[in-house]
Amino acid sequence: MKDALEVKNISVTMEGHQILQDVSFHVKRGEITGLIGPNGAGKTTLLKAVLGLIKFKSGSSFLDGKDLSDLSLKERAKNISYLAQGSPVHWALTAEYMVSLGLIADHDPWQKMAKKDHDAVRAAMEITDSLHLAGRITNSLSGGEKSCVMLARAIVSGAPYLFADEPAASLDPYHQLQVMDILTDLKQQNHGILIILHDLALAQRYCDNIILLHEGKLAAAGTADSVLSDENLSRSYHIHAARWQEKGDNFLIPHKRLKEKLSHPFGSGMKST
Amino acid sequence: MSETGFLQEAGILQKYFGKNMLLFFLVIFMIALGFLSLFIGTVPLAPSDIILALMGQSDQAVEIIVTQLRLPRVLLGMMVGASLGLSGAALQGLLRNPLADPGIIGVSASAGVGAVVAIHFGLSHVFPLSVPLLSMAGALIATFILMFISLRDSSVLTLILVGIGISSLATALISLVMNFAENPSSLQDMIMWLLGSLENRTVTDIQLAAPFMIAGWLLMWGVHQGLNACSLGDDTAQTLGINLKFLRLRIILGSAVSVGAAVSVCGSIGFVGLVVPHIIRGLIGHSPGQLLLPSAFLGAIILTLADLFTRINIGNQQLQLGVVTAFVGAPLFLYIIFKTRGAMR
Repeated sequence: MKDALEVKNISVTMEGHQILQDVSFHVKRGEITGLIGPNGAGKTTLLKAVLGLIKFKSGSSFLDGKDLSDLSLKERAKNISYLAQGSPVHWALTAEYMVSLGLIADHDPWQKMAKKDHDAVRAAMEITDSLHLAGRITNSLSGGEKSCVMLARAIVSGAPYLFADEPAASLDPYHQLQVMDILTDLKQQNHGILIILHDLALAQRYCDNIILLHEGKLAAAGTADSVLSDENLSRSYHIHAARWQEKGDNFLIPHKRLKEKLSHPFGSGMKST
Repeated sequence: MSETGFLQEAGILQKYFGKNMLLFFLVIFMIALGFLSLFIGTVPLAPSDIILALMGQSDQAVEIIVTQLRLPRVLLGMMVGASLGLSGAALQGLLRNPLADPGIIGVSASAGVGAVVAIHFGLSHVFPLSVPLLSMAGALIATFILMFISLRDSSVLTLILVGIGISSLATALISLVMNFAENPSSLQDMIMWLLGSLENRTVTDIQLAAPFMIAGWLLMWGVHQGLNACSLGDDTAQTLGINLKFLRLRIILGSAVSVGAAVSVCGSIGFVGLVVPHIIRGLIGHSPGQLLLPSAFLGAIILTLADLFTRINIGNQQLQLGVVTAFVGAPLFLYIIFKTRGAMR
């Protein structure tokens, strides 16, 4: 498939446990694809498997039709950037320095930063509203400030695909919306975005497509409205969501837990909606 | 961010000059110190004697003193110091741990086992080179174990723990050999070796250790970019195109080989590898890749300085090198930790 990242039948086993089983999906350029599912569903593992950080037992992945496993680490890095959950940082290094690390894939080890690289760093920090933090030591920043800096680090290289693991977690509502707006801007610049989200309201609001994982299997995939159906939410999350419409947009918030958990939430007949 | 280097980071000196300027000063200082070391010894020599001897134009006795006794000692000291400083900086960056020291991977202690075994069985009297050769063998065994571990898909924590395990086992073996020491003089030889010294080292020692030390340095040539990327954690570093397994292998093997060779010829010398990167961090900032070369030169300087101190006689005994480095290094280390505790969090 052109302009898309395709994953076919990925299975991952770790220490004898099957974490992912036959998961297939695709991420299109110019779309935000949300990856959702309850804790332990295998979302982070799936992201890491596609990134090549975890070996998968079987399955394959393709970038614009080319087998991802044929690409060198550098080539892969130039195409997919990754924003890790919580984004750990080490050493007393400035925010500007951390953002500039995002350019490593484009530089050989002895290459110096050119003016355009400095410009790219500043532009990325401006987009994420973190330019004023440039000279601050990253570890001394608040959680929200650090998230903005790390997002700048992930987008500075301009890689066509961005994988982000809960980029909006631990942010206040303003900054959550800011992160999602930045991702929307990137999408409009034809980037393909795959994000893990726990916040179903944000998923419903911002994702073009959603993949629902449940116990390592693909439970549903499709448009936000189709995947976030009452049936899917009750089967995978055991919750009921309140929904309403305003000015033509659909909204959703988790409303209450269901009293009884379904013993076999996704049976054999249940796959994609 | 200054234009002087890719991915530079603020340190107290950076306002005035960058890494290249620091390197320039370190090299000048190292050469001056090396030259100064040539003067100090039991036979007093004038600067002109030394210069003439270095050019091969003085009388034979002076030439032997300068080129076969003092110069090898200075050169070996610099190479050992450089190996310790470089390995310390690289390991701290790789393990993302400011407490990492070349000793942490267990190579120094393993080299010690070879040395005490050579002394215990009296091999050192029959064949003096048996001490460095056997300690190099000890270091190589530890290196192979580490290589095996880092080739498998293991975490940084596993590497540290395996290093501590190797180190503890080697220390136990050293104690065992000492336990069975047959006479006090053999025991004293072992202790003196473990305290480290550059005394009476000759060109042969350089010939023995230099190829390994240089091989170790070359293995670590160009790892700076990978170390910088590791500031973001292992996963992110890999998604930036860094081959982490290869990076680990190069640094572990490089420091094991160079430190193993260094320890083999001059005994275990603590604190240089631990302290030097901290001093450089205070000067030019924390960027792990920037620390490597300056740490190598500062390591060479500190070891040469420490070796100068060992030439002071206290009573009938001379100070051993390891004692001096620990006495200078430990308070300095405490001072640096106190000064930078905010930034370490």
